[in-house]
Amino acid sequence: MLQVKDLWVTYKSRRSAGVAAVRGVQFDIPDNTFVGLVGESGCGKSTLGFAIAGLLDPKRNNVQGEVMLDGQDLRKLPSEQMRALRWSKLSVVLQGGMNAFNPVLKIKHQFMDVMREHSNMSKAEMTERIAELLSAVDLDPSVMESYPHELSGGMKQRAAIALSLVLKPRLVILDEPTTALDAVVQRSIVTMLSDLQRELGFSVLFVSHDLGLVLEVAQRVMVMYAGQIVEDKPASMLMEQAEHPYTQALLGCYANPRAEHVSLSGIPGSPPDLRAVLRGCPFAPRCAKKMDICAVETPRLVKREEGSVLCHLYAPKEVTVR
Amino acid sequence: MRYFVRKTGFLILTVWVAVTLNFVIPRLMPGNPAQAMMAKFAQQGPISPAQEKALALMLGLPTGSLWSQYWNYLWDLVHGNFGISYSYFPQSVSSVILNALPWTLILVGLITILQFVVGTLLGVYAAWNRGKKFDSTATVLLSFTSAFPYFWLALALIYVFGFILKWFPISGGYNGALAPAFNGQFIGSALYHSVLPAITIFITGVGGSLLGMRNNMINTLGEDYILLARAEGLKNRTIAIRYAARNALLPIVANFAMSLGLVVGGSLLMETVFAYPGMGYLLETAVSNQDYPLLQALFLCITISVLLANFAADIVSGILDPRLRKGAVR
Repeated sequence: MLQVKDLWVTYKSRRSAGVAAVRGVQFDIPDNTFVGLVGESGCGKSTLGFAIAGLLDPKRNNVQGEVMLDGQDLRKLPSEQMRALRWSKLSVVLQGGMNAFNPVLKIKHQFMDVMREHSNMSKAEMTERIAELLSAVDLDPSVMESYPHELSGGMKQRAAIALSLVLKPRLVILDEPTTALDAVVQRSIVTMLSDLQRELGFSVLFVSHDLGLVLEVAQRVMVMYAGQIVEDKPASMLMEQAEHPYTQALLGCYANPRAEHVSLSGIPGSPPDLRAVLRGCPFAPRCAKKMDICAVETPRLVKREEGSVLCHLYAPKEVTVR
Repeated sequence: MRYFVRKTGFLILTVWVAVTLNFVIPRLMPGNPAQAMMAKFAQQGPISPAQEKALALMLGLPTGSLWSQYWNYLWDLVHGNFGISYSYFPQSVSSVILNALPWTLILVGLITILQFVVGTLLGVYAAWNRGKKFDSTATVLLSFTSAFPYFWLALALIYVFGFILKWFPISGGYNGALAPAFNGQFIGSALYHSVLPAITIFITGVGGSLLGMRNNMINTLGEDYILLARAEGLKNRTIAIRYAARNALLPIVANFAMSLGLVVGGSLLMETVFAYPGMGYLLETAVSNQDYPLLQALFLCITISVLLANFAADIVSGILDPRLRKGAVR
């Protein structure tokens, strides 16, 4: 349903060539799939999410590549058509949700604003739909009469998820939706989200820095590093047999609560400066399995049995024949 | 609802304090206006005690204990009786003020509102099209004109349009040959005389309104709910007005109310330069003629109108911002 082809996003800068936050990313999300996108801060994961949703300011960003949604290239769509398609096909949930609601309007009016824009529902139908969705995210329907400041952070985030589903979109992009919340609330919201996803059958792109959380709910996980997707695998497989050294290192950061001896390891070093043109593999300086080729040649995406990986370790040997 | 009751209670309290201060302060000053006048008359010849008493009676100098004076003062206040004006003798202070008030309220009040509305709308437009041609020209130009000193602009306008081009009269609120009346001729004359003062107030004010709104709006446009509104595919107009401007307006309402409250004080400089028969001109006359009853009444009017304007700002803010209304802590 969603196909992203060779997507580049560069933050423009007056002084330098700009910051290439997303570098030639390629993936697709089929119907009815929960996909997690993980990476550390500054790896470009949110930028990628916003680029797909067409929310980056063209004055400040340079976006190149294709974002195909149901065969239409969103990047080439005239703005009026793109506006009409928003929310009914593609919706977003923002980080934390703290400021995602207009502080001076009641929750129901913010739902109605978007419903009125994209549908011909009557007021009664809209009210009914709002109540239905608020119940679906485990909120009392009376919440619709509240102003945003009367809700807690968790309630706001639930309401934001309800809002994203109000027009039955095909794809929901969630940008760190639970980051500002505590572990218990985080857990209940994510579980609720994956239940809803299975029940209603939409696709999710869940952007997060929390690999542990994503592994629990997502069907597929994409790991991002320095603007590239370095590994893309079904969640169950990633946990058992991660191939990219970065993913392996990330998994090493989590403790198994049932293990007798917990060994935690961090990843030494820090991510590369995305202002520079990267030569070789961007992870090479921090990589435990670095080879000579890693410093000079940029790895290409290698298809695996399931998913893909961006690493010289798995490059087919015959490619080196010149 | 509790919010509005609380604000009303606060208004009543502050008005009482202002009224009482207005009573106390003149009584803390040494001497009294009758003595000051006496000293003036005494230069022209001796004054008999009978004359002195007559003058004190005529001016309505207070007698009796401070307490009974206070009650008399409140009683007079409620009945709009502020005594006799010295400089406009024998007119009463209230009739002098009532003659001046409409001029100021209509001219300064209307133009202040107009200037705010126009400036704010331009600010919304400039912020929405930030960095584009309109924003960069209008913002710079209007912040330049808003920095003009009031009296300087007034004098410049009088010089160019009144003195050299002779398009507009150089002073006054209406043609002195006409008697004030509600007829077309008089109203036309009043409008004609108000053009230059109106332009002065508008030009010096509109830049501030534009800048204030523009800067607030640019801040608001960076909020998450604006990004979400875009993601929702709402129309630009809806986002600009209902989501951005609506929120950007909140802090501005208070400023605007303050400037409305000061309308009653008149644009002192403008009215002086144009010899416009409003409250500012009256205030200037009262000060230069040591007209204490008039001054006291004018100060009271200004204070109370500022208080009322603040009250109105609180009420409007309460209506616009649910967070204030519910007494929630932000």
